Amino acid sequence: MVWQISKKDFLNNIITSRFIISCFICLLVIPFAIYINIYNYENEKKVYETEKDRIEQELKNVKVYSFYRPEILREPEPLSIFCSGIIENIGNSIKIKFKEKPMFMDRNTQERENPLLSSFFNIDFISIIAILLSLIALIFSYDAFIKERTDCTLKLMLINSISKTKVYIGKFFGITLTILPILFICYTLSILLIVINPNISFGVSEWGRILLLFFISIFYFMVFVALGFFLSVVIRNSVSSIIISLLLWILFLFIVPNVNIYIAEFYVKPEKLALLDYEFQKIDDDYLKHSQTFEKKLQVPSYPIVSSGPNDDGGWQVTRTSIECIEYYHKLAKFQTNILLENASKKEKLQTQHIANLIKQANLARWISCISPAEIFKHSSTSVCFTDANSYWNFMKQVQEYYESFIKSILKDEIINSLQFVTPITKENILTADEIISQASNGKYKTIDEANIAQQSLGIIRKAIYTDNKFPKLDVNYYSNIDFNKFPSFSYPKYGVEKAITNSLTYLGILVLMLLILLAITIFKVRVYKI
Amino acid sequence: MLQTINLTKRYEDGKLALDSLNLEIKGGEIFFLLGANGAGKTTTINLLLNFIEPTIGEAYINGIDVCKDPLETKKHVSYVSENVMLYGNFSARQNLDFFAKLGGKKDLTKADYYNMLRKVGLQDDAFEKKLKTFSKGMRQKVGLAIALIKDATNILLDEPTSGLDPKAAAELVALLKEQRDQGKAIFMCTHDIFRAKELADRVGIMKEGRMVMMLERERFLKEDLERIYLDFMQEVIN
Repeated sequence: MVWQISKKDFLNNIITSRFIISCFICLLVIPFAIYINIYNYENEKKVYETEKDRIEQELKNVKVYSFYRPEILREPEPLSIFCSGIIENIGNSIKIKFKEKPMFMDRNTQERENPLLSSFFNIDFISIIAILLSLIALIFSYDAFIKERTDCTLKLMLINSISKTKVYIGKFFGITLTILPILFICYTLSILLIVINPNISFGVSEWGRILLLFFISIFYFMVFVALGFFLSVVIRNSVSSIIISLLLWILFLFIVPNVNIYIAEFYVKPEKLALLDYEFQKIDDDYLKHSQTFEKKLQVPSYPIVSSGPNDDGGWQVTRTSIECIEYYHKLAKFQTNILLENASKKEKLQTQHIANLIKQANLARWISCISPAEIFKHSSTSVCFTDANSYWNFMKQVQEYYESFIKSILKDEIINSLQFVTPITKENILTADEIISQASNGKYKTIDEANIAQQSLGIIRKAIYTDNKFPKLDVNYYSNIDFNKFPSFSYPKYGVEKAITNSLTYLGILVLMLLILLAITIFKVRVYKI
Repeated sequence: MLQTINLTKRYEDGKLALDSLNLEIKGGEIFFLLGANGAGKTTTINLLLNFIEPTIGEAYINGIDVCKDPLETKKHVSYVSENVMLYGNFSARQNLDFFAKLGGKKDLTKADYYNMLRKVGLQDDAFEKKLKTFSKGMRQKVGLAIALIKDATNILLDEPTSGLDPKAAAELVALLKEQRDQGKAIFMCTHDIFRAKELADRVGIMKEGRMVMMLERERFLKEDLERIYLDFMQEVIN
């Protein structure tokens, strides 16, 4: 009998204008949104590939260890086509630096080309599903019981050996069955657009997660069907029911997602980023002072220095110079590296406190937003698509672990104590200052001091290096890049469906709990429903 | 068989809608319950169908207490309401099919539905038309077909003739007679005195929730039912 009622509701609904309009809106909006998101994803991939090439090219120019700063790029997430999550607002590229432990991605290659468009609401597939399906579910269910009562069909059903609870369950599944084809159309259209695109190829993980998204979407709209039913049972007339349904819809879809941010910002106030930057600046200034003091203590070699560096992170590349000069800069670079790493530890304490507060604020906002089924749906979808905050933090944790292992490898004796830390010139090609001046002046001056006294050293050496190219082995271009195998490489595991299920389980649990509570309350109300 | 013993209903607002109704309608009998609006006729039907709980008293259908075993009693009763809206997007046959299946008639064919719709006086070309195009009278006929196809031993009708044209009303009378002859107990709430005179075996007149008069067929045929009812109505107005 429950099936008869479900079937009746399904057949009765699919020939209504509500159903046809719903399908039409989905057919109109979904392909458009998916097309735009596919286009964005393709661009992100292109940018990612270009950036990868750029990094590879840059690495070819790294010829000393102290200049090596690995750059990490996060690959665009394929399911960002469905749900962009926080990816759009957070960077996807970070350069590992001695002076600071990586906490946030510091550059976004995926920002909108036109920044003026950022003022507009950016909508993805999941947001459309969240908005449309909840509205469709409420439109089909707000008067489900009221109409049966006013049309006397409820009486005609209950004249048979069937309880009100069974009528309710039958009707609930009838409306669920009605909305299911609309959802199916949405997903089919999206998948079709992905399949026909030759630039996108999804693996088992992606298809599995899309299936998971589909199931979460079913639970999502069922919550709204249950909500509509609840209203149609507790409210006696359809006008009041539709008004309250729409108010709740606005509350869940538009008010809660904004109000939760204000509440979280009110209760948890992390230090302003500008203040943190100020503290960092003070630490960096301290580094400069230390560095300058140390530099003064060192005996400056009596040799005209031709070198490059330091870069903004204490890296030195010393070429076209003598062993004395190389050793001088080696000492300086080692000192600066140690100070920078010490400072990174100091900054880490401030960063950890700041990040803890940010996470606390975000968690508060997230849990407040869980009063809205739409927000729970979005949270679970982003966690399935790996575009949520947790996926981001997991990635950053891997980056931080990589930072630690990279620093460990830098501090290894064979790296930091090797002259290659500051110069690409190999041992056998390194010359003393006297050897250089002697060769440069064709034996006119035996020592650098002699040439300095005659105030000739700089001119002679410059001429020998730049004009006559007498010392090709002292030139950076003579050498190839450093051996990167001495350093750990960054890898981030590709997660599959299991991880997506684990990620979304809590949200899915809340969604199911919400559904069960609504069903239970409505059944309780239905049992005492006045016909 | 329908039976009520001291059946009383007082609503939450304190209004006494039905006061100690004692009634027994046997199989093969047509009982007409007459009364002004708000007299308690529909409350009686709702109590018999267990749509509302009685304050005091009991109601039985084929000897089964409607409060104790409502689902079992519903196997033996069918109902025609005053306003039959049904499902506008379904045809007459589809509506009939749905309610027949709910009533446990699962092996009926299209021909069975057509025969029933024909029997209640619906035109053949209307069988597969959507109900939203039907007049009130046509919908009433479909409602009657729904009640009859269940083939229950008790039929309750709430103002079934409202909206029916004279021809359709005459057809209804014939149908009800046929059902009575098959041994069914028929309980009909109406204002239609002429139909009562024509069809009823007994007539009850209800006033402010109380059964104030019960007339056997011989008596109301002899004493002019219309006059009795109008006198009674006059009392209500005064």
